[in-house]
Formats: sequence, C-alpha cells, structure tokens
Amino acid sequence: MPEITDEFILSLFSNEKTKEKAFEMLLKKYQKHIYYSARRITTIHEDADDVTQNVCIKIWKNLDKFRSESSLKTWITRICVNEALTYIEKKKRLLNLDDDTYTDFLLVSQADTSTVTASQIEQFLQEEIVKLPPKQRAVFTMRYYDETPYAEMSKIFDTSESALKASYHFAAEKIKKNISERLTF
Amino acid sequence: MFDLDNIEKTERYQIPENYFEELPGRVMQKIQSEQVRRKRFIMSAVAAVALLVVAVGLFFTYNTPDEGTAITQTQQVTEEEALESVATDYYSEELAMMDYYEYLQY
Repeated sequence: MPEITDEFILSLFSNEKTKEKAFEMLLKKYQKHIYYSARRITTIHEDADDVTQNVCIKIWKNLDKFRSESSLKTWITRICVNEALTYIEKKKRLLNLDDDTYTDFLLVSQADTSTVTASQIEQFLQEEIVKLPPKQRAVFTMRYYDETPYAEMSKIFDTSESALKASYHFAAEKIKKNISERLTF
Repeated sequence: MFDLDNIEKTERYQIPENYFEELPGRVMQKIQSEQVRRKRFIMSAVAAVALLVVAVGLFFTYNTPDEGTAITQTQQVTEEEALESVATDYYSEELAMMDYYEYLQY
C-alpha cells in the first residue's frame, strides 16, 4: 500500500468535511515518530504519552497555519521537542527537583521499565543518555538513532548547525568515556 | 575506548500493549471534548452578552423620563426663578421707599 503523502493529508485537512479524516491519517502516519521523539527526551512512558497527546492537539489547532516552509515532519518534530522540553521543566518545578535529583529519578524509573532483552552495553548507553541535559539528550538521540541531517536539526532546534555539531560531539565523547569506565570495572 | 558505532542502534522501550492502536482514538476523543467545551463556552458568552443587552435595554426603558415630566421640571425651575426675582424686586422697592429710621427698624 503506497504511503499517504503529506500534501494529500494537508489538502484533506483544509476541507472542513474531511478535516477529521485527514487528521486521523496524520496521526497514523506520525504517531510513532511523535511518541519516540517525546520518549527519548522524557524517558518515562507516562510523560511521553502526555507529551504525545499535547503535541497532537497542538497539531490539530495549528495545522491550518502550516506554511510548508519546512517539511511537515520537521514542523511536527519541532513542536514535539519544544513540548517535551517544556514538560520536563514544568515537572521539575512541580516536584521541586534540581537537575541531578531529576536525573536520578529518571534513572530509577528507567531501571523499573527497562527491558530484559537489552544487553548490558545497551543498558549503559540508555543510562548515559538519560544523564545528559534534556536538550543535549534530544540532539544526541535525534542524530544518533535517526541520523537526522544537521540542516534539518537546525530548523527543529532553532540553533546553528555548528552549535548542534559541537553539542553532539561533546555528548558522544562523554557517553563513550563513561561507558568505557564502567566496562573496565 | 568504547565505540558508539560498534553497537546496534536499537531503542528498546516498554510500551503498553495496543498503545499505538488506541492512541488516535484517545486523541480524537480529547479533541472532540475540547471542541464541545469551547462551543459551550461560546454559547454561554453569547447568552451572557444577550442578557446584558436586554438588562441595559430594560434599565433605560424604565429610567428615562418621558416628555411630560421633562416639561414640568423645566416649568418648575422657571416658576422658582420667577418667584425669586419678584421677591428680590419687592424687597429692593420696599427698601427704597423706607427712610433711614424705618430701615433700621426693618
């Protein structure tokens, strides 16, 4: 079955009669991308679920303002990253946690929900990713897992490509160093 | 040193069963309930404005003086003014007729 194009979804969305149908198509096409983008930043399923729903509602409310200056996927990812980062900040404030305590909280939550199939090295990698600051975590995972081009990431994060390259490099070096140390013990 | 490229790039997250099958339905439900809430809010706002318009209309209907009353008020003012001016004239004429002795007694 051929993939539904973004143009087709957008044209259906612009018609009041087919708006809901178009949105359902959009959800089916991008829900996993939204969820995983949110999960990488928030780490916990419940938080990722909240962020995913908020993002979907924002898309519904603002899709008619989308001007195709970037791809629909980039636009959605940008909303998702902003929503997830804001969500984390709100949650930290609500729980009155500083960055370190919040990271410990995430590590405990992650340990509770980690899969048995993950190898020890994968487990270490996940833990080291969680230790990164939220924005750097988003940059690292987007580049590492999705191999998103820096030009596209620049639009998503509204940051220069060189700054993103530096952020990824520092994150990767930190992770490599920490995992190496853990493996030697 | 450990190399990031030497491990499989897979993310293993625990996700509840049927999560992605149920998500679109849950989102659509949330959007629809939000639309209903918005419609209710708009309707209440319209009703409140309509009520306010009616209340203001009724207030002016029952509080605006009619033409008859307005004329009477004007007439009353005129009569008062006339009496005052007559009284002033009377006193000044009477005083003028008095001599000094009468004036002191007055």
